[in-house]
Amino acid sequence: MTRIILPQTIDRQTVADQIEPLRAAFAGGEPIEIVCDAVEQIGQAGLQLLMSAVRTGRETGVALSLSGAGGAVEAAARLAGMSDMLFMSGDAR
Amino acid sequence: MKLEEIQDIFFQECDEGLGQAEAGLLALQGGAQDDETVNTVFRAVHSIKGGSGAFGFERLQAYTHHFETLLDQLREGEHALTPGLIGLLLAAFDMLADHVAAARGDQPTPDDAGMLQRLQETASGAGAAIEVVDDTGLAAALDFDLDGLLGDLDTGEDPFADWERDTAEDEHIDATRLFVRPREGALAHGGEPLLLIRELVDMGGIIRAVDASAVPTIDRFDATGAYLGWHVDVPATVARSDIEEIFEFVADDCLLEFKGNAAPVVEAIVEDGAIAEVEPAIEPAPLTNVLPFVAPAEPAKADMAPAELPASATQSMTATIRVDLEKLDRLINLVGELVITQAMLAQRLHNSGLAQIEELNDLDHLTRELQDSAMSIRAQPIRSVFSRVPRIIREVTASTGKEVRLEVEGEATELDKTVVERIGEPLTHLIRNAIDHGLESPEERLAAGKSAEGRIRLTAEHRSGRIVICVSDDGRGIDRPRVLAKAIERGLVAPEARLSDEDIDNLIFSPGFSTAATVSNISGRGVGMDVVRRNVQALGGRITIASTPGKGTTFTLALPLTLAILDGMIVTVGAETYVIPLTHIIESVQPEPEDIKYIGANQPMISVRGSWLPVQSVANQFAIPGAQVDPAKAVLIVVESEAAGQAVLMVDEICDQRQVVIKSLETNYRQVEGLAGATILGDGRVALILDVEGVTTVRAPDRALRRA
Repeated sequence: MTRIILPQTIDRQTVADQIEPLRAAFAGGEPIEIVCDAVEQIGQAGLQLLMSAVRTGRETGVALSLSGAGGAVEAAARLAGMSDMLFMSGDAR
Repeated sequence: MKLEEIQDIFFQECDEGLGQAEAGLLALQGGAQDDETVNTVFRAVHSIKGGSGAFGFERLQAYTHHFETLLDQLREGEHALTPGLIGLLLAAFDMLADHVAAARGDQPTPDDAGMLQRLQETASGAGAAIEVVDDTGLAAALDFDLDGLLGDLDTGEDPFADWERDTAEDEHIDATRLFVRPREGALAHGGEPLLLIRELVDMGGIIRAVDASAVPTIDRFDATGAYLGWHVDVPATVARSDIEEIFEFVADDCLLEFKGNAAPVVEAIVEDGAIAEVEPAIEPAPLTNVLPFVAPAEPAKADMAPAELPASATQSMTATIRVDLEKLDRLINLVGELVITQAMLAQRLHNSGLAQIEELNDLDHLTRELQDSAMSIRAQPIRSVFSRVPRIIREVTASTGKEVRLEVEGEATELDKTVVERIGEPLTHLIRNAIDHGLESPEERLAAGKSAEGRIRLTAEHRSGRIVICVSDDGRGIDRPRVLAKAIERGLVAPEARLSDEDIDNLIFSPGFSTAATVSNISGRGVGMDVVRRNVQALGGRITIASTPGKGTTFTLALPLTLAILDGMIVTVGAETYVIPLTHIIESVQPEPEDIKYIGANQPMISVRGSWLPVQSVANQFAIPGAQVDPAKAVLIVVESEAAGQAVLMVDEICDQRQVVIKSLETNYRQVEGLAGATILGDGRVALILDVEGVTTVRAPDRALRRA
């Protein structure tokens, strides 16, 4: 299991910071857990990153789960109408 | 927006839905097994059902309900995708297309009882009995009182329970439908587009669907990209200006489209599960959870060229807007006027010795680019015509027992909307003809060492400023001895005539010509191929044949990209100037006196490559004084027309060859026999465009005489 821990604020800069670790994690082929516990602010860039991860997981067959995605992440996803895409496509806890 | 306009949009979206459904079904037929393809077909049919209910098309609604039931079971995995089932779905699709055409008023309502029975039987009794909804409420739907509509449908025994449930979610029927897609700049400047969405939700907006189809996988993901788009319904009570105000400061960075009233018609195209229909009741998220709109901005990449954007991001920015065709034609007309005015200006400056002004060249280029761009707006991919072909093949193969594999290439090739609309009929006949006459039966093919399955190939491409469409088959080829014998028998050709292969092939375009031993309802009535050629020529196009015995036949249609401009030869007759469309011109000649002979006192004939052709004086046709009357001193233009074959037009002089903007005589004056329109030349003079077909028909020559 590879864990990617997201920071408190997910803006374009922090999204950019997460791309390489995520690419490496998918390349490794191990199940991936994206930990969202610390996230307090997230916008379109962050949702896009999560959506990209979900899509990559689906296409590569690498198991992906989002943990701690209840607070800010869930609220932003609901506002954007992406709850089903993000939380019903994989294993969200 | 008027009801008729909304209904027009519904039918346009029906066409799009039918296209998606057929593409999906053909993909299934081709071996695709993925859930998304089945889902795409289901959603297309589902959307048509929803809209048909709102507009009171009960038969269409009832039919789609049963079709959709089977598709729903299919996507739930209750049926295996067998060839038999796919065949049924394709047949059901064809009938759906008929139902849509009937709802549009284009044809009678099809008798769908048999198909409904097959659908229900296949659905293993899951479908309800065939019922037609009481239309007491549907008439009221014309004013979009959906609550009333749903109330009338809510009888407990209503066969459209699914539909009712789905559309009941449309709370904001009286709403403005928007599409919002932030561009990269919306993020690049430190902005947060979700706050814009939040504003819309605060206004009572409902997110109908989110388009995430452009979000790439992580290997292609770019943190600076903007990949999302939202379909939002905002209550109609919200002023448009209030909506626009939200986007006032991000106008350049965010696409905002008003898509009209949100009648319960269809949902957006769904691709790869990436456009999600959303639960209507979105609870506003706490603002604190969304990043502040203003944030420390890094240097904006405002100068980034589109080519530098991630491919998916540029795709995500592709959007469409529906425009009234009348407005578009007015724009094109005005651009035509601009082209003429620019030419006149250039001519005047040239006459004043100022032709080398640099800005004049720039203006010329800009004008041409503007004209090209304006014309391209009317351009449509030929896909809409090609998409009809699979159905034609299904129908013809069903009645002939032949096996056909279709190959299509160049569906995205674009040409003028009018040409697209008019080319469908000739193309349909060519396809039918290719299967019925061109391809052999499976037994004959096997005996000839070919595969049992015949091949029809349909291609389109741009070539030298024209679109070239080819319909090819790998069948038996044209039986020339038989064609010639039939033509002689019917008096179309003199018995002693010696014709080239090309001439013989072209005989199949003669009115009433057919070599079919028996008349079928597919082709063989001899009323088709001449109409095909006439229709193609009416579009300013040409059709040619290339056939090899035993190997097949190719019909090639060369068509103009547009009907608004044409390539013409500028000629003078007396003091008048005329334009002869180049599509009709074969060659121009300046004859020697010995090449001219007379029939009687007034009908000159000229020998052109072994054939004697009648010379027709344009001056005589239009009573123009002062024109050249001696063919040996005039310029003779050899033209070809449907009615008269080859003929020769006598003019005084050839001045130029150029593209001209066509002005309708009918609209601006009245129809004049022998004239196809007018144009304005650079010197400001009006030049009339000859209708070669009309001019040469005045004295249609005797083909047998010419051929002898």
